[in-house]
Amino acid sequence: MKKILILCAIICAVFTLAACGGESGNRTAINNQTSVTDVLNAATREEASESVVPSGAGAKVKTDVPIGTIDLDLTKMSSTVVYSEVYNMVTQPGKYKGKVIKMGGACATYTSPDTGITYYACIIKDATACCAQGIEFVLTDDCKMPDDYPQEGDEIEVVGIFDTYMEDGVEYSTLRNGSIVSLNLGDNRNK
Amino acid sequence: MLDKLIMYLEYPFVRYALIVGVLIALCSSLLGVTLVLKRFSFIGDGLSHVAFGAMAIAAVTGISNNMLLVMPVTVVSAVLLLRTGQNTKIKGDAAIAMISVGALAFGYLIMNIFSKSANLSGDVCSTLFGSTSILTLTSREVLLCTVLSLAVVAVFVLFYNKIFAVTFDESFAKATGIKAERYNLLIAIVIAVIIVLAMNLVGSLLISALVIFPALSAMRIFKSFKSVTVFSAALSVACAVLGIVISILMGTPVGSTIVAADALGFIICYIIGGIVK
Repeated sequence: MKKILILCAIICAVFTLAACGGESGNRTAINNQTSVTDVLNAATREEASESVVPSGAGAKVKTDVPIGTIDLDLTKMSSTVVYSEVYNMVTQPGKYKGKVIKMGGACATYTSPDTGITYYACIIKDATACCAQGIEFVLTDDCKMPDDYPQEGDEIEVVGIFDTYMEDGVEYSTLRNGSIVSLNLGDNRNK
Repeated sequence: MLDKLIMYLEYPFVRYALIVGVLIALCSSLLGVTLVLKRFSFIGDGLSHVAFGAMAIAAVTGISNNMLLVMPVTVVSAVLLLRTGQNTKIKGDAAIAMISVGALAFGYLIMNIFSKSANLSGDVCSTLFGSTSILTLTSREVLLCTVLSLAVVAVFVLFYNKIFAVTFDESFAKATGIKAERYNLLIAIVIAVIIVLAMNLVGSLLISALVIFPALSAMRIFKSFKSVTVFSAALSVACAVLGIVISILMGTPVGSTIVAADALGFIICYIIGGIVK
């Protein structure tokens, strides 16, 4: 009897371990089109009722990007593979230049204290949620910064052409001519 | 699910992960039987923490190829640990525990104080839990890992009889003319190589699982050294492949998924062993 109890405890422990990090279910809900629309509608209602509108609240969401044009869709991959693929994109950018990439993650911003330029990036985390990789994105010319851009912490899906550029002798990766195809406001904006 | 797996297999880094995973699992299980029988199950944990400390030093000193520092430090520690296990004031288990926590603490301290990385917690987490490092290997790293793994297997096959003799009865082996110290030294070097390689797969905190689980699982069912070693190697490889495939498909952490598969393998072998008896 004692052995059976020990065995049950071990099986429970194994299943608990195996269950860790499985975020695919949550991701699907976040990326669901209805859910995004609901969140955007809720955000619009909030904006109408409040006198102070946070900048970037009206980030342009384009849903008319033809699916056939996307060379690499990272939103359909598991978090483990996405992290590895983005790592490769950052470390071996030459292989990905010119490809149309779709990726989803959290929006992060950085404003250079020297130039005052604000950079926007889409950040993805690995399965253990301790390592993060990000790729900068620049939206199409008709989008103005910061009104048409998402805010820090927003969950976004962005499509853009992968490219690199040099700045101060360092090579950076970026998604040019980008479009935000899905937006889920961050926790700081839902309050 | 199968379509998804086939799609993922088209990526070179997924294929590299499977190749390196299989090789490391094979090497660690081969030596695992010897370590478990010699009551050195915990040496993998101690050495991996030493490797973590060495990796921290390599990172802050800017050594581009950290293997140049990590490998010699781990080999020296392995030799010292296996030697001091016999005739010293600090006995084997205490020495392993002391070096293990000491190296871990110093490694983290050095990384915290001197690290230039913007993602310190990520670097530490990646080294301790493997994270996705197995999926970010370059072709050069895969080649190095393959060469070292084949060397470990070759050493084990060539010196199988001597390792067997030293594992079971060192005194008897010495009496029959076998230079046991030399073979202990060889085992220590091989263990160090495996530990450094396995850090990529499961990280330094979970390495012991790769060494212990397959050997213990095999011992539940089989009794002879040869059959235990062969089954242990087969089970370890199967669990590594299963763990990597599950983690890729489900998005779970690679290291802990492999160890969970090993633990599941142990439970199954435990039940089978009970029925067979």
